[in-house]
Amino acid sequence: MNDQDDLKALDEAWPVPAPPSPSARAAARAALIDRMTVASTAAPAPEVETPARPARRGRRRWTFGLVAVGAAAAAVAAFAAVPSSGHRSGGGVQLVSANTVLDRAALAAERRPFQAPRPDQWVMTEEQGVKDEVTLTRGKSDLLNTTRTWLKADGTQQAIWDSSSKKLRIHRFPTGQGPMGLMGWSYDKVAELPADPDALIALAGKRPPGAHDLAPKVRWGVVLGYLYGILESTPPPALQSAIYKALKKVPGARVTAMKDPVGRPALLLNWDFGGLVRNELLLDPSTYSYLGSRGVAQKPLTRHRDTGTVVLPAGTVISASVRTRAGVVDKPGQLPR
Amino acid sequence: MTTTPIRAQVDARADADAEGGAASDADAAVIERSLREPESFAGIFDRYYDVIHGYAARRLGAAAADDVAAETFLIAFDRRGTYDLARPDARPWLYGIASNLIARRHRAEARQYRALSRTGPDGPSESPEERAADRLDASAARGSLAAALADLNDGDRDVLLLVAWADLTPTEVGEALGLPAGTIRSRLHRARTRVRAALPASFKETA
Repeated sequence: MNDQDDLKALDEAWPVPAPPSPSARAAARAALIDRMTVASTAAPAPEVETPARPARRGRRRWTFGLVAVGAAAAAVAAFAAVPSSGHRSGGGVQLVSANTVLDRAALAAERRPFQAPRPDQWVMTEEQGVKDEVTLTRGKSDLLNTTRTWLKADGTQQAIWDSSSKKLRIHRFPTGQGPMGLMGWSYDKVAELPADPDALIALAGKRPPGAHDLAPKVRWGVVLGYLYGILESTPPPALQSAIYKALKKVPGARVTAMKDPVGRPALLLNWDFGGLVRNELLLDPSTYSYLGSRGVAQKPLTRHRDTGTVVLPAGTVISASVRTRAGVVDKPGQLPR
Repeated sequence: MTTTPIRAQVDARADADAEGGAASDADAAVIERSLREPESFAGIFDRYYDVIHGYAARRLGAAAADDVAAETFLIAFDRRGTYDLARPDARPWLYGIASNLIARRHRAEARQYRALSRTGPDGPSESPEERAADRLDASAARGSLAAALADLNDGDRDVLLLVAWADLTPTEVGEALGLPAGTIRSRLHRARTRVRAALPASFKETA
C-alpha cells in the first residue's frame, strides 16, 4: 500500500461537494457586509463631543506602540518619526487649510509628468508598512517591513516579492479580474474610472443590492477608503486630480504637518467621523504627491490575544503604509529608475 | 525606460496556485487593511468562501455548511485584529475557525458518518450522477471509512480531515488549531492508523 493511500481514499470516497448555492453565498456575504457596517459604526462618538483633550492625545505623534509595554516601547522609539520638541499644542503646525492643500494637490496632479503603462507593462509599487499591533508580541523587524509588488497593467498578473524566500511569486488572473481587495486597482481598470469628483463619490458609496444604506458618517468613511485605494494604484493625472477634488467634498478635513514613518516631511490630512479608526492621508508637502495612508485609533480599542486582553489607547497607529517607490517597468522584478 | 533588475526567481508552484486566486502573500495585507477599512475584508470572503463551504459540506452536508461557512467569516471578521500578520496565508486561520464551528456540531457529524457506514456506497446522500458514473472504486471504501471516522475522537478527526480534505500541511493544521506540531503529528498518526485499518483490501490492491 502506498504511503498516502488512506488520505487518497478519504479524498475520493467523499464526492467533491457541489459549489455553494448562489443564494447561500449572497446571504453570507450580505451578513458579512452588515457586520462590517456595524464595525464602522460601533461605539460612535457621542453627538456632543466631550472636551477636546482626550481626543487630542497622540494625534500629532506617531505613537506606534503601546505606551505601557516596555520592550515594545523601546523598539518603537527608534521609529518614532516626529520629534517631540517644539510644538506643545496638540495639533502640530497648522499651515494652510485642508481645502487649500487639496486644491493644490489637484492642480499639481494635472501638471505632473505621467506616462501611462502599456498593457504588457507592469506598475511597480514599493511600500513600507507599520503594524503597531504586531509590536505587542513581535520584534522590531516587524515594525517596518517593505513590500514590493508588480501589477500588470492589464490586471492579468500580479507579482509579489517574498523577502523571506527571496523569490518572486507570480499570481495569474486570466480574466484580468483578480480579487480587488487583494491586488488593488490594475491600471486598465483604474483608467476606466470617471475623472469626475461627484461620479467617484457616487461610485464609492454604491451599495451591493439588498444592503442597508450606510449612515452618512460611515458612508464618508467608505468614500475615503475607496479614494485612497485608487490613489495607491498610480492613477492617471486627470483621475488623480478628480480624487483630490472629491476629497475636498468630504466634510471636516484637517491638515497637519509632520514626518511620515520613513522620516519624510509630510502633510497629514484627516477626517473625523466619530468611528473607531480615523483614516489619514499623507501627502508630500512640496509636490503634493501621494505618500501613504494610516489608520489611527480614535478610541481605546480592545484586542484579545493569547497573552490576555490588551487595550490599545486612543491615538495608537493601527496600521500605516507609505509608498517609497512606484513606477512603470517592463518585467516583474524590475525596479523603476 | 531604464530598469534595474533585482535578483528574482519565479516560483513555478505559485503559478500553478494562482488560478484559485492564491495570492496568499497578500492575505495578511488585506486583513491589515481591513483594520482601517473594514470593507476590505470582503476580499477574504470572496477568495475563500467556496473552499471553506466545500470543507464544511463534506463534513456536515450542504445545509449545515451554509451556516458554518457564513459564520466562519463573521467570526473571522470580528477577530481580524488578532490575526498574526506574519502569516501570509489566511487559510489555516479560517479552517481553524470553521473547525471550531464544526466541532460544535460534532453530534450531527458523527450521525452522518454512522448513517453512511450503514448505507454504504449506494446510500441516500450520494448523488445520482455519482451512482451513474460509478467511477470511484474508493466509494466502496466509504462505508468502512465513515465508520472509522465516526469512531475517531473529535480532535483526531479534525487533524486528519484538515490534511485530507482541506489540503493543509501538518504545520498549517497546527496553526489552524493552535496546537503544537508534536500534538498534530501524534493525532495524525493515530487517526491514519485507524483509517488504514478500515480500508478494504480491494482498495489497497487497486490503489
